[in-house]
Amino acid sequence: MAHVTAQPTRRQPAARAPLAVAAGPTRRRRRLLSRSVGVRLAWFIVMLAFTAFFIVPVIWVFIAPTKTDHQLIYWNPLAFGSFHTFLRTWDEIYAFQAHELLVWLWNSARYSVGGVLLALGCAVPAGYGLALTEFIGRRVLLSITLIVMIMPASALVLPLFLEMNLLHLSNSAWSVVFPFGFFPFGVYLSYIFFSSTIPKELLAAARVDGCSEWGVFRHVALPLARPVVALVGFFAFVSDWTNFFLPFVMFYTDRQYPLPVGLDYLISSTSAFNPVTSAANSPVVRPELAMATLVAIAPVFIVFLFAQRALVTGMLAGATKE
Amino acid sequence: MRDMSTSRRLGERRRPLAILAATGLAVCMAAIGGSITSAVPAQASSTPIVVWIDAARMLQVKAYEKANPSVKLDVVTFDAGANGSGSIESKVSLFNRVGHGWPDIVFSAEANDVQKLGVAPFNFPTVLNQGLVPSSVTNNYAAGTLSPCYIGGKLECLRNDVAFDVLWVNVPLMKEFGYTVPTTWQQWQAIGESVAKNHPGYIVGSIGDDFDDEIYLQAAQCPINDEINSYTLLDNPANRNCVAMANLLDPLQKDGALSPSYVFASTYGKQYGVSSSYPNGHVLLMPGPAWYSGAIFCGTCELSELKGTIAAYPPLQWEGSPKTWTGDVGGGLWIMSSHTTDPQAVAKVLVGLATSTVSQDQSEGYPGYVPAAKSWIAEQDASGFWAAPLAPAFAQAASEVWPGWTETPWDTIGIWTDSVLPNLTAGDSVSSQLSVLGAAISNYAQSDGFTVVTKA
Amino acid sequence: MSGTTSLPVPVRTQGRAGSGRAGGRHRAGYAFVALYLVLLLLFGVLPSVYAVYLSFTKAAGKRVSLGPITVAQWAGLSNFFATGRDFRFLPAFEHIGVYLTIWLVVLVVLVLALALLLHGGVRRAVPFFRFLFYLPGALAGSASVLVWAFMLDPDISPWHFVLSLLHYSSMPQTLAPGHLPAIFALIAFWTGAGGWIVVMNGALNNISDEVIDSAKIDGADAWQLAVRIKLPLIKRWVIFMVILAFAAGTQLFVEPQLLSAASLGMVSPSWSPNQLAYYLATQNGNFNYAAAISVDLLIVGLMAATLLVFRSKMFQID
Repeated sequence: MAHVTAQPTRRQPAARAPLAVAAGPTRRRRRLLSRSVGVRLAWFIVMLAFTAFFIVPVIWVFIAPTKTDHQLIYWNPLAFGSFHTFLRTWDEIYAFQAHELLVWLWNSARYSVGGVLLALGCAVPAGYGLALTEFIGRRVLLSITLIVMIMPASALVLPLFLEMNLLHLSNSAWSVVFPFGFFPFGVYLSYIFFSSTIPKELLAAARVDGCSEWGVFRHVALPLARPVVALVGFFAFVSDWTNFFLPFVMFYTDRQYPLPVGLDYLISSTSAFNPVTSAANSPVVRPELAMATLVAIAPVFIVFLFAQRALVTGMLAGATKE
Repeated sequence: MRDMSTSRRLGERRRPLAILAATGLAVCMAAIGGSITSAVPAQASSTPIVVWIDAARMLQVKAYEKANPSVKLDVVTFDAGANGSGSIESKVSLFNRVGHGWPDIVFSAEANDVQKLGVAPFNFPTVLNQGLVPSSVTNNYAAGTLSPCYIGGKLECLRNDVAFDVLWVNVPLMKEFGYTVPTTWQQWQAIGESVAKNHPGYIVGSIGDDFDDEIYLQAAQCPINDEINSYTLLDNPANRNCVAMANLLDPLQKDGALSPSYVFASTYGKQYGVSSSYPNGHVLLMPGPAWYSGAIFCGTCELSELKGTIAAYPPLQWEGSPKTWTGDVGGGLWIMSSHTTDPQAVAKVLVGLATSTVSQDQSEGYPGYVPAAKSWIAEQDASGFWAAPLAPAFAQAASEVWPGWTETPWDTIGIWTDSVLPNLTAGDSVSSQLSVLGAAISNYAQSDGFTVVTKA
Repeated sequence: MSGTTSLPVPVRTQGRAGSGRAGGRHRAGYAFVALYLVLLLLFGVLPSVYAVYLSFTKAAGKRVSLGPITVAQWAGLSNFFATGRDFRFLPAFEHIGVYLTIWLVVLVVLVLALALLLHGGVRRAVPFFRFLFYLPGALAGSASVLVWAFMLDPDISPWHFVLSLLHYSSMPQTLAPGHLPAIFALIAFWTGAGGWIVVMNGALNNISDEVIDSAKIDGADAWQLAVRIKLPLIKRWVIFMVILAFAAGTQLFVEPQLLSAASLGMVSPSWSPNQLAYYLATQNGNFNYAAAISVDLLIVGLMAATLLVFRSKMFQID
């Protein structure tokens, strides 16, 4: 109840959507402070340098399947191979253990979609509740959320496995989808978003008009919450898609693996990374691994491309600005 | 929003939408969940026998299944503990906690896995030499090849393949330079010194590998990892055998007669393989495991050796030693669970996978079971790739593995790789690293509850 | 938290907890967090409590029955002492100490710098660069083993010229033990910076134009605008990032594991404390020792979080 005592009023963000309409089209655009060509050029150079740092390895992954293993070692690292080799590489990895790569892809898809839906349904209302309603234990909940985010995962192996076993869910999809729904980072994103973007006056006005709490959420907050839904959904998707640890602990048959665990298994079966015990003449070598990596990362790229529009405005409530 | 009647009307319009959403959700959940019952494999005898293998054993298991259509196997692939990942141990401890889920048969790629799995807290393998596996089978393994499977007097696994070290020889290069194939380590060193002086660019071995301790130190009978009693380890890096071998290697390392790179480094083939200026490659001699035959010396392997150039000779002997001893690097194990409900049936499959010719003909490495090995090596030699048949050297080396380098719960290859190899890369000599290795092994041993002694 | 002109908020006058309207808001508050509470309990609180329980009980030994349930034997602090004496424990924390120093500085400085550059930059190009910075985030864990096996090997890396400038001619030289903290920080930054840049960029976008324009009218240059206006307004986000980066840094696991796979074992499987915990849990089957080390890491992370949260009053909404 500490917040009931007088506190210096925090600066409130200016009212958005409904009032922004009234504000009219005269919003000034942000610009580079100095429009000199020199500054712009310097900006581009710095950006391109960092881009190279981030992107060159990704470009490498795209080019690698176009070469044979021998070419990958002997040729220039970023040299393009041939489309024919690319197709052959695909054939090899596709054939590995009866199309297991596609099984893993399908698994990743269903675990991630399930996890995202559950995480959204859980984190968005929770963030709203934490930010804009009052109840006893609000701060405790926030603290517990933070604490739990900091707990190292290796300690949770056994308890999570035991729990899932008690629920008779071991080695099934739900053993990862339910934990995926627990997305405290999303709750924090949602909490910070709602607490900083939705003005209290708006909610107060809706309540004065007789809206129930649920009504306030559904009619006032949710329409303004599109950016945070996109943001939380996106981060939840990437987190679920790339999660290795949870499926690694929960699944013990390879047909259940999602892509990260499958890829790890694939790596241990190629002579490039396991020369001592892997099959010496396995057709899966480095280009095939790169191809499998592409399959694993392509969906994230695609989702990010589509999420860009929502992410472009970042946390800006309501109106799109780009 | 401010008009409650509006919102009520909106609510009505939303009802069919809600039903649609609920249906969609149900469909989603069905797709997501797949089959909830896809979980725990049952253990009753009428249900399939669950076998966990790695990708490299798939051909063996498939061949066995084809030859035994009445046996139903449920095959699951995993990494088999490769590179010391501990996947068998981690899954077994989880299954132990919940009381179900263990596979019936597990293949392990780590030769020391039974030493870990056979004791607390795992207690996973079942004892095989108390009725499940007849002595007619175990007696047909080459001497010493089953020692990684023994805990006390109990046999707790069957060896799949063995990985003794032999001397790999490049016949045309030896002829070209006028050397005779060495039979002792000392002769090998002399050739190395001569090569460094007269034929730089050629090598007689490698000192940059993960498993060099099991090529050189084990062959020298260095007592640095010798379990002399239950939970007692003899670890004496100052022993004269260790020192003598290290002193033998130091000058070769310094002159470059031993390659400083790992034979499986990405560019090893580029550096030491066949090229236009080196039509027979750079490798004159190489002490190394038997499975180099498929891993680096074959025609399509990274050294791209030509047909008819490589032969395997028996392991080098230490001058003055009454017997030849050699090291071994790897070799897989077939382990049977102690939680099966039909041990006889499962044991039969285990023996079949480990010893039957139909399975072992598909083996990646030289089979441990002698009759299967004869068949396997005959097939290798029939390919005509090797300069001379591999069979004689292999058969001899199979029983010459020094048992004083025991398989223990810790991984000596991993210890060499992360404690010693970085220092060798930085330029330190092999001799300087003996105490480093000894200390690291001692640490791991004590951490696993062993007492470490320096005198037997 | 993103400041603009303030409007007085009448909300506070609407009653106290438990009475009428405000009481309804209380109950509604619980309803909104209900589903999250269930999952938090199931997958956050219960496993964490169990982990703490593991750290204070013995792995083997007698089971004691407390009514309907059996619990393991109390171990006091013996698990903590035993793991603390492990020969890998202190080196692991030393490694992490060096790593954290490099990692926190690199992450915070570069992420904020890039986010600010993006915010004030050439409008049309910003989404393009932000997208590209984010791409490596898709290559988490096992997907990047192959990538780093090539990037760090001077013979076959696209960064060959950089590595040769540093006089590394082989992968083992690149991975000399002294280089590892910096390499892990590099990999962690490469994978994670993009995500934080997206978050920070979003937070910056939330600053209304009026604030920025009025600052410009007051004569602020780019640097002053960034440091005096923008950064303080996203303070809460920066704190959040520092807390998580610190916790993630102390719990470093993925980067050394993947580099161990990429280098065929040249990096120890217990280089970091979290790896040691994982090793003890999986290889030795000793979940209690693993829990003890995890509790150590949790305490370290908590101390940092508590400090930062209380100093910044992050949890206050008004």
